[in-house]
Amino acid sequence: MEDKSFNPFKMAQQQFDEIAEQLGLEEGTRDFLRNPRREYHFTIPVRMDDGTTKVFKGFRVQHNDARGPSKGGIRFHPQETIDTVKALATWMTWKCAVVDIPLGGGKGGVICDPHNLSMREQEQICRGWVKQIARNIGPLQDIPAPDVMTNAQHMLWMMDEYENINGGKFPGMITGKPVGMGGSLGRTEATGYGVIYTLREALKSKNIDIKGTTASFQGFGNVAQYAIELFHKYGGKTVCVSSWDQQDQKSYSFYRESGIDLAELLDITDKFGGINKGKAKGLGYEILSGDEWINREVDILIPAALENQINAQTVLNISEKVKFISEGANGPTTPEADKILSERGIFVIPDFLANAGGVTCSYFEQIQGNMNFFWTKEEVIEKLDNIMTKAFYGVYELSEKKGIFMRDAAYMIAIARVAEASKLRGWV
Amino acid sequence: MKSGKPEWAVIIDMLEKLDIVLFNRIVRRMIYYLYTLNIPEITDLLEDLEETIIKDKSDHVDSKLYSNMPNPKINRSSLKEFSNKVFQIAGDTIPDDEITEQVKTWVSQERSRFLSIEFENQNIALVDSKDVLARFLKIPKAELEMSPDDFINLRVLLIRRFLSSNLNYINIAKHHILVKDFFRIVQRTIGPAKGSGKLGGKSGGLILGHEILKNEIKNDPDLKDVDVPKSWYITSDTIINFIHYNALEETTSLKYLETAEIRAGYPYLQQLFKNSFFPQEIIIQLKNLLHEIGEKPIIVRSSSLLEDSFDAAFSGKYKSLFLANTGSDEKNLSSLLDAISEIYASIFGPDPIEYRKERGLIDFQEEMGILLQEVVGNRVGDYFFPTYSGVAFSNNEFRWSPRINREDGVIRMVAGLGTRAVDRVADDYPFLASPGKPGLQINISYEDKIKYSQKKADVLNLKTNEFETVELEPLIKKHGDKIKKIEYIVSVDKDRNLTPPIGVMFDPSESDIVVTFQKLTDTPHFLKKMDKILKILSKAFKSPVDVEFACDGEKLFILQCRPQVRSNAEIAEAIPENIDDEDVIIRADRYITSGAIKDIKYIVCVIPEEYNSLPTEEDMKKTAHIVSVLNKKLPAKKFILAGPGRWGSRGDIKLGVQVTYSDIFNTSMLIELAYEKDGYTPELSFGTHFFQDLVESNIKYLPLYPDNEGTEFKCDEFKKLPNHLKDFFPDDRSMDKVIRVVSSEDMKKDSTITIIMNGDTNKALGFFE
Repeated sequence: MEDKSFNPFKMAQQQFDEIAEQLGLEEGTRDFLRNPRREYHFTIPVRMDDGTTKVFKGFRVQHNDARGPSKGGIRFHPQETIDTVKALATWMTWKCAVVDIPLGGGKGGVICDPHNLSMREQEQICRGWVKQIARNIGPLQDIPAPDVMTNAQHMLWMMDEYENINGGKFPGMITGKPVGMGGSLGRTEATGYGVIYTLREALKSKNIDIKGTTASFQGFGNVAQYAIELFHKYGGKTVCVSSWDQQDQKSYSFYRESGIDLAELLDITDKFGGINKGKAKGLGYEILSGDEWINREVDILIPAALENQINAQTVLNISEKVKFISEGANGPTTPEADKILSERGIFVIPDFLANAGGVTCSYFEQIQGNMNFFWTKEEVIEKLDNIMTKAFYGVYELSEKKGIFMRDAAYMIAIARVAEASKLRGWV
Repeated sequence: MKSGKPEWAVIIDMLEKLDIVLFNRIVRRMIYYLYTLNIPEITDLLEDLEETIIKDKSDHVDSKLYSNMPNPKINRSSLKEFSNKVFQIAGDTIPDDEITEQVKTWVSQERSRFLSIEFENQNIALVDSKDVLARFLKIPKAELEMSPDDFINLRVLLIRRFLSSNLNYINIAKHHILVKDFFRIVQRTIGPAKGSGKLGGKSGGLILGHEILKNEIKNDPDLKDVDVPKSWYITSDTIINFIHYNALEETTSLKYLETAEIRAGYPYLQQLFKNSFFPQEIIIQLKNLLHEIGEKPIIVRSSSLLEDSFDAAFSGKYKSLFLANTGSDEKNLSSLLDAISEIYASIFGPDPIEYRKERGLIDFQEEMGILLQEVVGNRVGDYFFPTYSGVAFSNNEFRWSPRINREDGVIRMVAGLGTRAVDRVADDYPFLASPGKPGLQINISYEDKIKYSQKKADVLNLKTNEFETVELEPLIKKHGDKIKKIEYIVSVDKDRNLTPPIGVMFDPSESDIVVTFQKLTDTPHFLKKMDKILKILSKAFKSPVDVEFACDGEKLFILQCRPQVRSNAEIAEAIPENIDDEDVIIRADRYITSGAIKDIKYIVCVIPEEYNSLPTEEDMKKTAHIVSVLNKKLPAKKFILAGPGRWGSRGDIKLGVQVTYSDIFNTSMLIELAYEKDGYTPELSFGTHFFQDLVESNIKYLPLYPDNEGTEFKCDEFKKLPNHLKDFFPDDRSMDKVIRVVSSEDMKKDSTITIIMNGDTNKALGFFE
């Protein structure tokens, strides 16, 4: 009997099949792209702190490297399934392709729960992982990065092991390193800025002056904060942000018609983007319920917090005035809502284009590593702007030419680019 | 060789004439001495004596020695004859020199006998006991020369007089607390000169803990910086004097009123106490004490007779008050008196009385001793606080990983005063570590490390004389470089990396600071030390212990030490045995931590096989959404959540329902179900995705492995019962199969569900009541 339960890889394949159909890809190319090129499974024996040996399962999936070395995170997850990893590797291929950086898609990890492991044991797992896969990863083949429950420390252990094995320094073999140890400047700003670069171009293409436009943000974390900073620099005005209140365990929207003052709000915000209600009130902000951000009378909505926030119900609350949505969060819009947005003619910059600033900056980290050189923050930001702008127009032009929704156009261009590279290499 | 009588015989003769009491004691000692040397003649002699008595007795009745009849008495001259025979045997079997040596030792041991005699009177006045102890210590080597039996007896007398009559306590303390320690203790004891009060439970626990550790500290370099803060004790009868002095006698019967009445009258009573006077003799002693302490802040702690007793769980019910102690002499004294009278009043507070009623302790004549301690810490700006402090438990009742055993212990610690670590705090997170498994952290990701970090600290404000809770970040930014060993407790947050600051390179005003205890727990020293302390104390106490500690950046101070019984909720309640099988709904025997939840009306169960076969990610997210709505609609703390795999799992929604803490905070328990799949039982999360939230809000966690023998979860029966989900979602029935909301009423009329978890036996049982 066929298993009907949710399978992320099947979902990724279905998504691909739909686009492949629209693109009219031939059967061979479809077969090639709907499955990963390589899948490595291996065991990592670790001598535990209590003297016993435990064997962990490690793996790496390289979905496609036609456009460049694979890129993707390493997850430490207690019940990782290969289907999830395959799906995530596939999405990485499309994500790198949509911003047109010369990288493919990969993903990997180890089945383990770091909550049950000491740092020494985790180090052994990192080193063990690299020992098994060192021949198949590296700055020219496949560049890992931090993901669920891994961080800069894990990346440094892996880099160190890789360098031991290969007898040299290879800072470009992995990303997510701390600044000063091969990490790139501008990483903190990259995602938020990217959201605004694409928005700026979207407005420009519709002949709207960004100066004087108004926006409402959901979330006040890292992405939203830098996005607002840049948006204001361009002359935009933010009238509302929503933020999570840790103490009340719910979110609130902070509204001020005359516009928010970023510096003033940051002063009363904790590390998680939680704004102090009492102080905000004192500064003249109206404190509204968490979902009110969406029904503000603004030109632009920027969801930059959670998934599924614009859904069949909330989409109905969007004001007539709203003409643009830039998706700073991952998957903020449900398919049902997407349909309504498209009917209403709201211009949506889809998540994997709008928030691709992060992966682009990882790419910069890899380049700087390979050159054994570092760029100033200004250089990083300038290059980021160029790439995001170019990526936007790639998607936008296709969407205009074919009269299709931005989200579909983004997938199409990504898949088409990978298909073409595979063809040019003579693989399919 | 000298002719005539040997020296010992001369001494014995003389004693017999001058001091018959001492003579009799020496005879007794000689009998034991000969007996231990296995001299057959002495055994024969003793048997002869026994036979004489039995013979005597059997003339009257047919009976043996030790029967229910009183034994006959032999006459004085026979006794004298018997004594002479003892020395005759000694003279025949042991060299003269040896006898002389022994007799001299015994005579000199008798020099210190007066101390035992004085303390046989357990009502010996404080002032007299000070004198007697001083006299004893003036005798050279008095304690060394005592015979082992006298020695133990004397210590037991002293323990009973000053510390506790609890037999379990005495049994341990007699091996650790020496006579000279008591001399030191009474030097620091304040009380009515003619009184005979004790120091109370908290002081007793601390004194014993310190004495146990003292020997180890000497021998173990790991423990070299362990100490106890300077402490003083006020005897428990001081409160009685205080009550009489102010004619407050009627208060002692208040405890028999209804709790509501007590509660209503308590604010007035407290003020009455605070406006009462202390007898002059106490005031003089306290003045001297303040003079000795100087300008250091002090903490005034309750040390009642019921508190910290080895049997009853009575702790944390009375107050501890901090005093900045920076004013004029007069002001400092009046604050101290005020604090003491407030603690005195707390004996009559509604909560302690209610607690005593529940535990059958209400008729006990509670007396309140006081423990005064120098507050551990340093002055930083206007504030005074220790670099870090906390509480350590031998038994870990908050396990966040199956690799942590109960015996690995747990530490809750904070920057600043330990008050935030001792109690649950609603809006903040103390740091948790397990000294037996130092490597296993609760928070792995950068986000979690920050989210679950301490944001506020308790400090003493020396300027305003107040106990304050302050925001940590501004405090550290302003004064961080003056906090000793701060690099051990904070990390610098830079580019999403948390690293401990490095020496002079650290500029707190320019850095983003997070309290992580990273360096303190990365370097094995601290946790190893705590592990040792817990193990040493629990071995000596023959029980798991609970230790409060504080570090001023140089020394680690033990502030309190007692058998581990924390609060009502965490006492390992016995699993009832008389529950009918059909009333049982949950049975478990793996990774159980102690706790009990009662009065549960609903079980919200996410059916594992249904959840796992949901076709889309949206459906799985919807499950989380429904749980979130139920969390707000069901009566708070009257329901439990059960579901497959890992609640709150991130990254892969198939592993468990993807909720956050805000979706479940009203539940009273979280159950994770690990069903075997393809011959493999999945690892459970132990609630790690919001572990510290669960701890602080006292949500219990239970892992269930239903395929294991001995585990039961009546999921199939839940499926047969009416599903109340429709009451909350009348229009949307699509998730009826996946989520079942079962009411206890439907299982059994007028019933509620109780779940008892007992970490001691590693068993849990859920049933109707």
